Amino acid sequence: MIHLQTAIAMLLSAISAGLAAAPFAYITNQGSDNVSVIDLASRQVIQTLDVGEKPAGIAVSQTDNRAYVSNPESREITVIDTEKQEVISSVSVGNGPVGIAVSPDGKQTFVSDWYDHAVYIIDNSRLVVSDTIQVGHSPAGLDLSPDGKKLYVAIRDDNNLMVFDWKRKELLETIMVGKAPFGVTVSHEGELVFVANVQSSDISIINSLTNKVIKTVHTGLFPYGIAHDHLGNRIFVTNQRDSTVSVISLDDFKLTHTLAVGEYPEGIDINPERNEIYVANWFDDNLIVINTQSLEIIDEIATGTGSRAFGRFIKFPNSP
Amino acid sequence: MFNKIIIGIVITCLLPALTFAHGPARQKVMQEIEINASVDKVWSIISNFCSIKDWNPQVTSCEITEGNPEEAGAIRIITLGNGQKLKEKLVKHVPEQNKIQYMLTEPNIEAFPINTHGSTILLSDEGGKTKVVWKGAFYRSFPGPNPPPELSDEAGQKALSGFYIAGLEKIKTLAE
Repeated sequence: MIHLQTAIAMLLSAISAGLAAAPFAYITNQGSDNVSVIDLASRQVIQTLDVGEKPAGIAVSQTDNRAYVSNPESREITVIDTEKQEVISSVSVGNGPVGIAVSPDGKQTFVSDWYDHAVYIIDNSRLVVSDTIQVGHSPAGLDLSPDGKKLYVAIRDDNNLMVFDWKRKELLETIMVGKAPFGVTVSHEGELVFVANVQSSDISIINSLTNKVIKTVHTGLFPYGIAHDHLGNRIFVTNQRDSTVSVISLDDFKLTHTLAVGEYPEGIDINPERNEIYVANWFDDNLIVINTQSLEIIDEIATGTGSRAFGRFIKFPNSP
Repeated sequence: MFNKIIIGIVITCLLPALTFAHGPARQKVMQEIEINASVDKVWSIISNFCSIKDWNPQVTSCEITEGNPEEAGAIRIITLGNGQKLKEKLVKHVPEQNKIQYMLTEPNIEAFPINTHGSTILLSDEGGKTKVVWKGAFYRSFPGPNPPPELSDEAGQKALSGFYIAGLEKIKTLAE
């Protein structure tokens, strides 16, 4: 009897360790007010979590078991436990939280507010707004440098990118980019920053040391999100109104491929270990899997309605 | 005097928001219809960007102000039954795929309570008949939460769905 209990306990812990070890995607579904939790190894939706209203942005911590979802309509951040796969809390923030990013150490969450023209900083241990940085008009995507010191914010209606030393609340630079910048992704090592300019249909590539735009590369219509493939030295960009993904080489800053994907592709993220890129197609209500070697769509996973997944949406397995 | 300055400052501050900001969540619209006519015939009805005045009863007139009405880049100004105008741009015109894609370039909430609108009309052959799928995406114009009913997501849905349905039904009548 004791042996049986021990065996069950061991089995359960093995199962939970196994579950925790898989990479997961957290896909916000703006039309159905929920998040699809997808096991990227089995490519199955393992949980659907009700969150706030019209969830858009997602940020996943890699240092603890937390994911944060921005809900612009209900003006709150939903906090998800990425081990138990359940909603554990909610934090009221501003008037239109959209872009969201978590610091590399997992201690802060940064939220751009579309209507308040501000970035709110949430202290993740207390789950309260601990600070506010005033920015330009209608901030959208944001991202942090790998050391967590610099905060980059795309200011959609001012056509620029603001760079902050967020701890000191100091504006380091305002960099003019294309028209209506939305998505921002800092490169793996932090030397480059990529900004997707929705209305000028191009990507501004910025050298983070000089804070200068070193290249502007034309994409498809309405570029939205960017994933950096550091192993392949290229970026993948979703083009909302072209239903395509642009592949841009960072060797020569040239567009090398245009991949047909679903309709209104939005959120995009990469899992280098699996050679896979994931794209949320807003109109099609799914997440597609693209192999980074063959550049072919190898799978399609149905999500909730209006999948957006704006932000870094993958939880990687905990390193040993 | 002081009040005027304050009002001026307030208006200046609000202006970018009024010009650019929109509702928090993009909305989908989709309508389709089956037409007992060939794809070629249906395409000939809709191919010209300004032909909408002939096949959508809600449009009373249409004017091309820039470009060629059968090439991407063309701009049209349509007038609705209530006299309100909308400026739209032809984004894609793909005869091989029988596809037209266009977008609103300047919102006019007196016409539709929307701030952005991207729209695609796609024809496909269904055993000699034609399936017409009209898909759109829009943001409501009212920024922030709790819009008045006439500026809500639902109001935008209703207005655009009605516009699509009216167009599809007229195309069917014309083609059959």
